[in-house]
Amino acid sequence: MFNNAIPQDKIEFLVFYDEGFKFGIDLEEVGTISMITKQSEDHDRFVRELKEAGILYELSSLFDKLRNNPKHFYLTIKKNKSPDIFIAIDEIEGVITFSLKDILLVPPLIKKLQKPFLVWGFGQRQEELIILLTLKNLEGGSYASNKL
Amino acid sequence: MSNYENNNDTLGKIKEIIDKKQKLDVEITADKIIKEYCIIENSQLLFGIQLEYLREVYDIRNKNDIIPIPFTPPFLIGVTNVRGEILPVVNIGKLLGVSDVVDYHKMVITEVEYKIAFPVTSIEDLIQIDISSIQPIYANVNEEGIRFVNGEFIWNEQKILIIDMLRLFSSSEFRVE
Repeated sequence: MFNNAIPQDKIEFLVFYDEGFKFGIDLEEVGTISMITKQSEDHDRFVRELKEAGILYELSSLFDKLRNNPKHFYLTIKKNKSPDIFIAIDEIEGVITFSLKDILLVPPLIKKLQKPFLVWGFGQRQEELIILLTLKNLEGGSYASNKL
Repeated sequence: MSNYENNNDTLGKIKEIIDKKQKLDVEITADKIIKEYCIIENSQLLFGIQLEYLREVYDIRNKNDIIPIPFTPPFLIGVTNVRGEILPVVNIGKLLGVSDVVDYHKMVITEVEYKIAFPVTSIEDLIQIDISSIQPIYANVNEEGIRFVNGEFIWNEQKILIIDMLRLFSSSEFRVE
């Protein structure tokens, strides 16, 4: 029987762009992917509701970019103990599988000082670096809305 | 007195002076502890980093060479990829509390326990400093930052803040298991 399972030393990442950077998140963390036409009533209502609930993160604001352009895509991040959160992103590229040995881990200093732990490594593909995120440690609620 | 005697007398005095000076030079050299420093400029402020901790300097081609990392202290700008090695990037001015601005064109890689990258505007010079000529700090270094500074040195009528790399790496912020 053909086995579709990904070997344990490999991880599948959903790769997406936001504000000039390319990010990857373990597919296991991602729930749904919503695409909503920007500058529409639906979009505005959707974003407003997420903001009011305090469960929307915009990576651009986390990464200190001042531009806060409306986003096309919203990923739901599955949380075990707290409400699911949403992250707003520009564009989805696809799914990439990285072998663990090809992932460059963040230096111990970053691991120590980054609270909550968000960027854990970098996937190298040809000349580009894909920033690998884990959003498991991000909490919803007032903290998220304060970041917006 | 003949010219020959006069010359001998003068030569003797010169020899005596040279001997004294040589003796003095030896004493001065013995008292001096000379260290070599790389003088870097960051947003019009000068910093000295001991040359033995300097590993590499290269031009920053693209501002995206520095990847920001959220949820870290303000002095940590992000990380950079140096030939497959991910290094933390530290704003030296912010770390010492003397400047928030980072106007960078070059990256200075240093290493004590591990490697750290400092983005800088320019490399000014490599100089030798007698460490006894390093003065107490008068610059506006904050309480947090003063832990990482040996003192000030005047060079070309400009103040250089001398970074104490050993103290920096052994500080609670930078010490890693």
